[in-house]
Amino acid sequence: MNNIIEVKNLDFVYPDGTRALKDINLIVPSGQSIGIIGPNGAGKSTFLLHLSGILQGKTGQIVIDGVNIDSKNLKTIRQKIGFVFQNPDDQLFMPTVAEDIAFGPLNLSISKGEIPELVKKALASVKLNGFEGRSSHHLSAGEKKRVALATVLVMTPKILIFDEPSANLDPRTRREFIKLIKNITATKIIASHDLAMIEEITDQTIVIYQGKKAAEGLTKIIINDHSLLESFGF
Amino acid sequence: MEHSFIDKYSDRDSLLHRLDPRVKIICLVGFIILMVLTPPQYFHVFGQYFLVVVALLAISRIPFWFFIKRSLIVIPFVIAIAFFIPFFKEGRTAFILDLWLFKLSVSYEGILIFWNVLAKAWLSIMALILLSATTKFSRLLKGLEKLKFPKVLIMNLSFMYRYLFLITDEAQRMGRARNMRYFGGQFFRQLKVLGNMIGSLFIRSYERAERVYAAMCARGFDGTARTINPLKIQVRDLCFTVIFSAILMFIFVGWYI
Repeated sequence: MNNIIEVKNLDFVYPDGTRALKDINLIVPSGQSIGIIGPNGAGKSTFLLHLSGILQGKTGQIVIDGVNIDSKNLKTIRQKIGFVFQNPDDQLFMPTVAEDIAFGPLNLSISKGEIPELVKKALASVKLNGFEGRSSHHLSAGEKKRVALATVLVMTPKILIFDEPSANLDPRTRREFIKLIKNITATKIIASHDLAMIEEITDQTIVIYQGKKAAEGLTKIIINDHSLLESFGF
Repeated sequence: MEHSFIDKYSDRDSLLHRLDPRVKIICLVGFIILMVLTPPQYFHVFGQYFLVVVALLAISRIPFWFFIKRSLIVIPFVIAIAFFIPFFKEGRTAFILDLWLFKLSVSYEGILIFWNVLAKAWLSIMALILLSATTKFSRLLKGLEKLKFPKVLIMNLSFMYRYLFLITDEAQRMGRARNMRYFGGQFFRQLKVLGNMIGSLFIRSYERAERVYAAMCARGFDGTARTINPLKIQVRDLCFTVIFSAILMFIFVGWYI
C-alpha cells in the first residue's frame, strides 16, 4: 500500500504572529480514514487548510499522491483533494444547487455536455435527487451539508477532507450524514470533536494539541485511553 | 429567518414565469424605451401602456395588491425630484395657490412635466416588477450573462444575492444580543455600541469572504468564472416576443396618427 499523504516538518505562523502548527509529521496510507481530534484552537482546521494547499507553510513539505504541494501545481492537487468545510454557507456560494455542483467540474475543464449528468449523479449519491434548481439559502442545515458533500464528490477526489462534518446536525441527520461518509471509499481525513463519530468512521487518530501532534495511533486505542484524552482537554 | 426576497413569487407558475429570461429582459428594455419616447400629452397612449402592464399582470398571477404596493416605492423618489417643477416652470398659469404670505403660480407646462416623470417612472417600475417577480434571481443573472453583461458584475450580484440574507441574519442576531443587555438610555454610549456592531459585522463579512474564496480555490477556481447554461429559447419565447413587439409598435405608432 503506497502513502497518499506525506507531511514532513510542517510549521505555520499566522500573519498576526500566532504559531499555529509546530513541526507536524504525518503519513497516511492510501484508502485509510484518519481522525484528527484536539481542543478548540489547537490547529486542526489550520492543518486541514495546509493539506489542500489553501495555506502554505514556509517550512516543511507536503506530498499528496506523489505531488509536492507548491503554488505551481495547485490545480493538480485540488483535483486529488476534496474539502468539505465546516460551514456549508461558505461552501455553497452559487445561486442554485446545480451551479454549485457544476462549479468544480467546470474549473477542471470537463466538457459542458457532461455536466448535467455529473450533477445528477452527485445529487443521487447524497440522496438529494431533483434538487438541481433549488437555491442554497432555502435548504435545511442537513441538506446544505449534503449538497456541500456533493460539490466535492462530483470531482471524484482521491482524498476527502472534512472539517467538523457532524456539527450543528440533529441526531438523525447526523447519523445519516455519517453513513454517507462511511460509504465513500476515498482516503478520508476528518477533524472533529465528535468522538463517537471518529470512532465509527476512522482507522487511525491523531491528537493535535497546541499546534503539535501530541499522540497518534489506532482509533480504538486512542479513543478508549481516557487518561490520555483527559490530559489533552477532552 | 423570514425575509422579503427580491424575487418573491418567482417560483409560481405561469406563461411569464416560464419565458426565457433573455426574452423578458429584451421585451422590458424595449417597452421602457418606447414608453419614454412617447410625448407626455398623449394621455390615452399611456393608458394603453398601462393596459399592457395590467394584462401581463393578469397572466403572471402575481397578487394585485403586492404588485401595486411594491410599485409605489418609486413614488417618493419621483416626487422628491419633480415636485417643484410645476411651480418653477414658466408657461400658462393653471392656478394660483394663495399661501397667506406669498402666492405660488402653477403652470400647465410644469404639470405636464411632472405627469411625464411620474407616469413614466411608475410604468417603468411596474414593468420591472413584472420581470423580477416572475423570474428567479439566478435565472435573471443567467439571462443577463447570456446577453453579454460583464461577468464580474454578474458574479458580484450573485454573491450579493447569496449572502445578503446571511448578513442580515447576522446583523439581526447581533441586534438581539445587544437588546438583551440594553436597558434604555445612555444615548451616546449606544451610538458607540452601534459603531462597534457595524465594525464587527464588516469584519465578519470580510472573514466570510476569505472562507468562501478558500472554498472556491479548493474546487479549482483560478479567476475565470465558468458557468453552465440551462437556458434554451423555445417556441413560446418567440411567439411572446413577436406578439409583444407587435402590440407595442401598434400602440407606439398609434399616437402619430
